[in-house]
Amino acid sequence: MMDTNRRIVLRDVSKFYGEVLGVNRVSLAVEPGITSLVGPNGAGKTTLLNLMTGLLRPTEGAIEVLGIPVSRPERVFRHVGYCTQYDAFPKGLTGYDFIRGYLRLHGLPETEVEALTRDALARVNMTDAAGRKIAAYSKGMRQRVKLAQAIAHKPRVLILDEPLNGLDPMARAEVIAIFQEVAADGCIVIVSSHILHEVDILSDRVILMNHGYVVAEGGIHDVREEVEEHPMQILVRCDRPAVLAARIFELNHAVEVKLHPDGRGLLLRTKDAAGFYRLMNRIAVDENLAMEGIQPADDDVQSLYDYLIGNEGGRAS
Amino acid sequence: MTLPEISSWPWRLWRRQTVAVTRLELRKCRRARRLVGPLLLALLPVLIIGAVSIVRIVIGKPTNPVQLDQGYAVFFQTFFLRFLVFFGCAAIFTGVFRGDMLEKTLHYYLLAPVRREVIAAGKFLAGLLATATLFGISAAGSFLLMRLPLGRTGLEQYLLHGPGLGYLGGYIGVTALACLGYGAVFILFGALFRNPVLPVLALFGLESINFLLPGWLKMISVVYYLQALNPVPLPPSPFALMTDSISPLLAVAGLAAFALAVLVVTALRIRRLEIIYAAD
Repeated sequence: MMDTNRRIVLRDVSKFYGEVLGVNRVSLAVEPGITSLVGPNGAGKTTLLNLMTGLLRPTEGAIEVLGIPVSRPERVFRHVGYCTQYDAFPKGLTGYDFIRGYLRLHGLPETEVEALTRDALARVNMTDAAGRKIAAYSKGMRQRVKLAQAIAHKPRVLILDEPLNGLDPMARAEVIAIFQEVAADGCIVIVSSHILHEVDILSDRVILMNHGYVVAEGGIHDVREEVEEHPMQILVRCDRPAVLAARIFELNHAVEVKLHPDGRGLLLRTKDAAGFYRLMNRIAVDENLAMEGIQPADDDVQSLYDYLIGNEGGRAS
Repeated sequence: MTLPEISSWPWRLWRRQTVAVTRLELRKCRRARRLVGPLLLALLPVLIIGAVSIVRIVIGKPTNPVQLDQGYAVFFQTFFLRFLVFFGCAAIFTGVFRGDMLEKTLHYYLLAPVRREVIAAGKFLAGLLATATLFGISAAGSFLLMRLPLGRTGLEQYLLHGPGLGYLGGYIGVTALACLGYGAVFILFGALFRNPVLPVLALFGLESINFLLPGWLKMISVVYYLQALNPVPLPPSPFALMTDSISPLLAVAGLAAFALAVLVVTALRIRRLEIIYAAD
């Protein structure tokens, strides 16, 4: 079991806005690496992130970030960077002022403030626009300057609420690379996003939320294996898919098998993926099949979202 | 990166953070629409007294410095302090937290490793600097314009060889203390109430009838302390309930203690503050 000083821990956390449920009885332990927070609008994602950062107080339960209670912002935010979804900035500030002002609040010496400000702006590719007023920034630039604020003090925990919104594909790739760099340093990165295929690329773990409840959480593969009502979909590429299909039916190991439209593969569903992979080795040897590849076809966040949340998901893409 | 060490009472860190909050607030203040009202309020006495003085000069009305002192004392205590400074401070201080909530920018502060009390102190200090400067200049300007009919020589005589300079300093000091007292109350109103207009009006009523209040109630009124500090005292109202007057030193200490107590309550409130912009 990992030390609580390296994790974000939520114990039986609930948040009610009057009688309206925000999140209900959430217990989680988020470990270093990239964790995606996924769910439809109103699922409670932002509430959960705001609770983790002390911007909201839980109605019940307790939250600790790296072993520090979130009711101690003066300690928590030494280690936490939070890129919120709020798109408002203090009036009259340039991008440079925005970051510098934030770092000054840390009580750092002025020389260090200047160096960290320049570094953060450079990391999000905003050096050239740093002297311009934020009011004149595009949505993508505002998004990047918020990210610069979140990473400016080199936090050990980076929390990002819809950080890819408004970014063009190039900027998304750059920003995702930053998340990966931060995570590679052993930090905790939590990304809430609607863009599921990008979430898939960048995260190892997922927290799925709906109606204020955590529907599932853990490693993407582990969570997928637990979704028993939807047999695992596997794509097999080989030279003679019809032969393979016949053997699979004969051994009664799949609930559904479809020939791939290009005629060079099979898409099948099985309730025992591990057993199927062992079986495949035997069939390939017995039938002398030329295998090109075997890969899960629905072992991803998008599929988990579809299976566990489904059409309620609305905006997810 | 060298994060400052946190001891149990890190005064140096708090001081640096308070200064950082104050600087940021003053920078924001320059662009804030909520400064327009107080600016106009501060300009009003200069315009009114300037106009009156020019009329006096034009019609050649005889002027007596003692009469001018009495006239200014009435103007300062009944209109300047109780109305202009009062509503000027209300406009600035109630918006210190509420304004950020409405603009959805308060989280900017709350995402930094700063004690909420330090944020409250920094914001209060910025408001105090803004209002004290604005209304201090207004008090000095209106005071000097009132003495315009004395002419250059008369004014020099009054300021350098008479009581003028002392009075001027006194009025500026009282104005700053008024900003301190009202500022503390209004920053609390802004933290407590979603719409602080009604509490502000209720306090205005209470301050206006301060002279009718019994002694113990007067002690929770800002005007009570300020009256004891005015350079030129006014005769008490015929309806006033007589209470023991306090010494200037006690008045300053009382006002400072009053402001500190209100700020402590504000800080406690801010500690429990949540970011729920949708509700605002």
